[in-house]
Amino acid sequence: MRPGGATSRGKPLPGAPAAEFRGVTKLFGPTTALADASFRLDPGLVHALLGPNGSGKTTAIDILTATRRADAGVASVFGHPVARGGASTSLVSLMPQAVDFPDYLTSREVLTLWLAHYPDALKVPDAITTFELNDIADRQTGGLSGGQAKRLALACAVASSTPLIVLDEPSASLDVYGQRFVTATIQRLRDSGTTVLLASHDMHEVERLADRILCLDSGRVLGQWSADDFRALAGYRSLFFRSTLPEHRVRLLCESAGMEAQRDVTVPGRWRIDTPRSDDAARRLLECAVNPGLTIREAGIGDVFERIVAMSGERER
Amino acid sequence: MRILRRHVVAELLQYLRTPSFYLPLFAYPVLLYLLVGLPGGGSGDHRLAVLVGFVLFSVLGTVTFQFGVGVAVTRQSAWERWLFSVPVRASTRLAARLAVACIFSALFVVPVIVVGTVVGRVEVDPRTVPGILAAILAGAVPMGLMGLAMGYWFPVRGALGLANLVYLPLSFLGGLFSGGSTGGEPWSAISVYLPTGAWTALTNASIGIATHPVPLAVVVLLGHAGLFGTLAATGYRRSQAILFR
Repeated sequence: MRPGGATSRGKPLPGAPAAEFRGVTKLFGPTTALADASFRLDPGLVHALLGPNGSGKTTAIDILTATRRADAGVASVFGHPVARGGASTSLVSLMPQAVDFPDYLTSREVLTLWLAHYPDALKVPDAITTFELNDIADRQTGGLSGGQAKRLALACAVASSTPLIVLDEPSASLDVYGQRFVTATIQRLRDSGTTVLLASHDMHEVERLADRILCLDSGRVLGQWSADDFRALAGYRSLFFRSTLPEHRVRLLCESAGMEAQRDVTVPGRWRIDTPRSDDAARRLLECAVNPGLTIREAGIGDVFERIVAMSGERER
Repeated sequence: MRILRRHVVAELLQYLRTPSFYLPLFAYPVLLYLLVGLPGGGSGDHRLAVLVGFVLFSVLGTVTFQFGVGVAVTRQSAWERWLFSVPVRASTRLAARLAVACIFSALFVVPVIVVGTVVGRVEVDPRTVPGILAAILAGAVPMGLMGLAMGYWFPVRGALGLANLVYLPLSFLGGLFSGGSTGGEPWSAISVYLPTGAWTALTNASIGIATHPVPLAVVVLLGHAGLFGTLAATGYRRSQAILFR
């Protein structure tokens, strides 16, 4: 055993990706959680890991952070093969989806224990200040609310100061303030050159933060794109406009121009047209409508994601 | 050492903030000693043997409940699973657990020793103390492994039930309450084959009371250490295979 029981301190190998999966397969009985999954995460970027529930996101994260073992294939972090207690574990820290602490330890004591494992970690008082934990620093974690526990978990993961930080649905079930705090924290990480793997169902969060998108479905990697390339996959833009005409008239007018309009459920009185020929459609709308309040929007990551997953499902059928 | 120390401190704090853990282990042996052990009287050596028997009872309780129930509880927690991701070896965490068990064992025997020496006027020849301590430690190993085996093989409720089931009967049948006496034949002949019986035989021998041959007691303790050690190791591998699969 090394002094203090710490594992060998891993250093990123030159030129190695922040993380890499090569043919990783994981089975749970008859269920295939990951099937021959291969991808790599370039350093210094925020990688969004998208996938429907049960697509294998958490299993991939577990394998990457050495909390589960792959049945086949190789996972590595900055060039070090993933092994529990091995060099890879000093280069990656995790905020898990299910957060739990020993009930009788205070937040300060949890941080003191957790950060002791990481040589470059923030000092505990600094972590408490940075993550705004002063109010709960000396409270036992058994009495924390869900949001407070998540904040503490975020502090554990981020204050470890590892070059790769994995956040599994960090904003889930947080209030608006908590969500903003998570977003600001990830933005800070990105600015500092830390690699982040962010698994999230919050498409607004992904939209704001992701440099790269990695899509999983049914344990398979559907693809990996830059955020811009991913949006471009949609092949359409959305036009939003207002109209005082009755619904059937709006639909009729659009159909006569070869476009399909649908009500925008988020804003009353607003309509939406998804079209690959947005310039042409915009011109026609401006010709036939008075003050339509026209806005044109690129397809969102969420829209593309839904389309890709649906296409993958159709291929499978 | 820093990480080991942090784990020891964290474990200690958690147990020290759990009165349901430490109060029974602190109070039960000394209460039983006051009610059952002290009134028995007898010669100086016999009273010392009874006192040491209650010390063994206290240690047995600590390792059975701390390892047996404690391991079963933590094994199923999400926090424990999260700790898999940190750069620390499993052996460090086990060492911390062992250190905490040693600290609590040493703490919980204090009231028994104080009552024995102050109220019961039990005297001990300082020259025999190292031998007594060595005998206590020798028997604590298989008992600790038994606790670990329970913790790794049983869920929380099962481990708690089993700990309660073995704690008192093993203590009684091993003669921990009576300085090694188990009420004549056939129990007397059989008890040495129990881990607690062999443990008592060894501590009694260190005091100068020959209840059973020392080599037999050593062989029995080694056998139980091997048995419980194997069970603990296979249970550990099994639980890891389930958690870390």
